[in-house]
Amino acid sequence: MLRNLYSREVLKAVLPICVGYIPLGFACGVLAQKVGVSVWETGMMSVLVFAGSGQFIALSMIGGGASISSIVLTTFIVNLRHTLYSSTLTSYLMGQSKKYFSFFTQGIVDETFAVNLSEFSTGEWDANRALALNILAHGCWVLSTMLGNVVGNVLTVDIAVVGYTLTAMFIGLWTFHFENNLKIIIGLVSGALALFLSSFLTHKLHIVVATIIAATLGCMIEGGKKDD
Amino acid sequence: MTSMEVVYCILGMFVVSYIPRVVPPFLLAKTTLSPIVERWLKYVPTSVFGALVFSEIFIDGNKLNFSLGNINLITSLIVLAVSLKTKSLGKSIVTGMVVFWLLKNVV
Repeated sequence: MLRNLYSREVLKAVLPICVGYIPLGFACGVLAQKVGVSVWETGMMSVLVFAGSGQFIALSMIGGGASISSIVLTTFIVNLRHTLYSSTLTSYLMGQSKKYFSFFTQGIVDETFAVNLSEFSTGEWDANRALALNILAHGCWVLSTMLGNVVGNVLTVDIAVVGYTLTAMFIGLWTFHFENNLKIIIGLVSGALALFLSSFLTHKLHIVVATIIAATLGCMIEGGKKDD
Repeated sequence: MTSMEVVYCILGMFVVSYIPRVVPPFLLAKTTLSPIVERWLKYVPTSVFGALVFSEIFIDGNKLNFSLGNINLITSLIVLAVSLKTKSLGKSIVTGMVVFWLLKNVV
């Protein structure tokens, strides 16, 4: 397994994630320091929770004096979308051990899901590489947040520009799924739905609901075509 | 929040983040997926990306920004064109960063 951490394919695949994570993690660490969360607590949160937006939201809530129960509940809702990612990736990992899944799933976030999925669909990818990618991305996140916490006030980074890396990565990976018109249309429908839902669903729930509705629609349309 | 409370809070966050991640493989991995679930899962990626990308581009704080002054929008259209033409993730990302920076700082 450890050999895979250094394989060229894995390093190449994890690179765009790390380019985005270093400034974002840094910003997250700065926020942690501002709300009085220590470097070790920041590291512990990044190891155990590993959720970009989830951590930003939790830290602002800590800063705002929210109760533990409200922070935990919010985190649950914000991270519910990982269930969809985990279910989708499982279909490429059938037959792996319980131990494998208990480690692998901890590394599932928007970015690792996106990259693993596209690598799996191109073929040259396996369970060990997927795990190695998760571990490297996770490690990169943990170190960046801790670093941000320590040296946060010394350096400033243009987060908007480097943060756009992840958006560009999502666009690129999205286009790799444009195999037929139905998939393109379903993606666009999901995007429009997400915007519509965002006006009354908070905490990233709009992503979850839009995905469920759009995927169901795609599944029904494909099923309908087959019956013709 | 005291240091002890922060630690309890993180442990609580860990439990509620880990369960949604770890449960699906334990429910799905031992059985063969039914064709309808498999068909449904085929449409999850494009739907997730559509929802994420549209949210990143158009949601600006608490409002939606559809104007042509939206740097995210203009940059993303260019990234989309590059990605469709080159099929290269690296080229798409580099183009995105350069265009975004230019639009933000030069134009």
